[in-house]
Amino acid sequence: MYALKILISQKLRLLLTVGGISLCIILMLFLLGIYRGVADGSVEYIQKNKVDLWVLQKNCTNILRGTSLLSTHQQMILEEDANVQLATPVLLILSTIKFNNQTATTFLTGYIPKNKYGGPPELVEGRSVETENEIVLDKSFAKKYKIKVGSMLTIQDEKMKVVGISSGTNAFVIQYSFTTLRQAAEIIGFPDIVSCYLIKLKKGSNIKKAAAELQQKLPGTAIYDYSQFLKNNTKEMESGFLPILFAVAAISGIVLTVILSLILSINILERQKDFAVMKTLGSPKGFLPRLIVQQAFLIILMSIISALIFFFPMVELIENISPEVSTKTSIFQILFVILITIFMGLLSSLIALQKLRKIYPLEAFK
Amino acid sequence: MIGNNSNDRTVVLNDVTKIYKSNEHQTAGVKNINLSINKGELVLILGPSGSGKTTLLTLIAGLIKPSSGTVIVFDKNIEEYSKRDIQKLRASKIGFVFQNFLLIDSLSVIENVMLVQKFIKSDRSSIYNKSLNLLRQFGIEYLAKKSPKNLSQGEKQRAALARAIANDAELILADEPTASLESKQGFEIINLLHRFAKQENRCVIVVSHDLRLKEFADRIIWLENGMIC
Repeated sequence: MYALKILISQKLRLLLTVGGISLCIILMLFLLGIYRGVADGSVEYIQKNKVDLWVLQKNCTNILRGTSLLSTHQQMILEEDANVQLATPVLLILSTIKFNNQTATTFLTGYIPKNKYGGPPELVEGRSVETENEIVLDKSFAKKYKIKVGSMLTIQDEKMKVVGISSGTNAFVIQYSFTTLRQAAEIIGFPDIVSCYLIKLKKGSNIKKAAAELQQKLPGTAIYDYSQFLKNNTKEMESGFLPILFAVAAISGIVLTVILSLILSINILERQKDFAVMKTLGSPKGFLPRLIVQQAFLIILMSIISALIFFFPMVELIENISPEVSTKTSIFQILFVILITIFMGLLSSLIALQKLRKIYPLEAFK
Repeated sequence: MIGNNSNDRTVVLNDVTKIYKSNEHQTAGVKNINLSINKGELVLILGPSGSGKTTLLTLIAGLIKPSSGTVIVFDKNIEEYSKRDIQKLRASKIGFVFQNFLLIDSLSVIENVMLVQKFIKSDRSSIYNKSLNLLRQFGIEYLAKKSPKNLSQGEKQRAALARAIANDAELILADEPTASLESKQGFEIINLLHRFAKQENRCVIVVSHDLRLKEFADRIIWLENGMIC
């Protein structure tokens, strides 16, 4: 296969090209993995605490990037409603944790442990909080700061014992931690304030009707059903930080195309005489363009294989270095990146083909 | 016009002129050329540099079109061939020997010989066997898998000849084939071309400024300033 021979004749160049393109592919896979990891991780708290309704302050649509302040007195109104089986308050505050002369910020979530909802979605170690001065930390947060179950840390002036480690609580830019509602309220110094209420309705209740009735009773609030609230939070994440990932992934795709078209063009220019000879000898119309496209696809194939070999160990390494970086990679994402890479390969060869058109058979006679 | 029976004519040039235009300048590559070359004939086109030898060769190959006059190759005006037909014509009926041979270094010797056949056929094993036979005929079968860059000039010339006739070419166009060779090797290549013209009854046109080749030619055409002298 002539295309392969052309590539192999410059081994170092081939190695560098495949290396560069592999890194672009790895970067695209990694960014898509982060995208999925962040998109899922940031709403996992909502998904795992699957209640029928979320009650927030009016005009507040999400808990990720919105401030919602509600009165604790509203709990009684909610609980008195005929449709409500459970109304449990949650207080979300950004807090600074001190540990071993280090400080770190966490999304401290105060909840009522006995009410089942509002706490850590999944525990990977230890137990849930039971009383004041206990805290559950996110897995990646604990790993990053080397905090273990049984460790003591300080929030404001409150000493707290780590009793558990949770998963599904990493929103990439911030990680959740959990304590009792009373403890969280003490930390901010406003005991009558909560962020939202999680409502579980009685069996057989009509969710929309119940939400409308509650809305009438609590005019200063915004009430969302589960799917709407999930959508609001996902949208908030996707419209904020996540587009940057797409932009970087797109740049990576462009770099890939530039590297490949450059290398293909150099290969053409270096073999200008060979191509002129082949044109003179009567190479059919598609023969030489096919040769360039074959080279592009061989490079792409080698790059994809090497990217897939190195991607997973690299992700593991990065997640060990920065535990808060959580990625989720699916077959669909891999196929998507492969398709994009193939498309870019085709585009690169089309760019390089412009050089081929400018080679005239007469050059063989110079 | 010089020539014999029209059935034997491979190449006929009638009052051919080629003018190169660049900006406001016009340069005549060849002027009013009348020529007929037959099967089984080795014609040597001699002349100094810039005399129009290569222009004449590329006109016959259909790589450029005449400004006036007609170039008839295999009984058809070259301008009547479509682009695709010209390409097919070169791939199936014309063999080329270039100055410095221009073998493709990324391919092995046998792949160089196979290349031109691949342009017109698809049966890889028959192409391979035929190419190996050709290399055997030229005594370089043992070099089949080697890269041309590792060959001596003499070995390169044989490989180049094998490539030129691999498509059973009826017309061989050789551009300064002895330019980079010592006299012994130069004689060897012209001898091989001469033998090919006679034994296979093919038409061979050699462009050169090497006067030593005269003794092998059936006919010598002297070009100067684009005109036959």
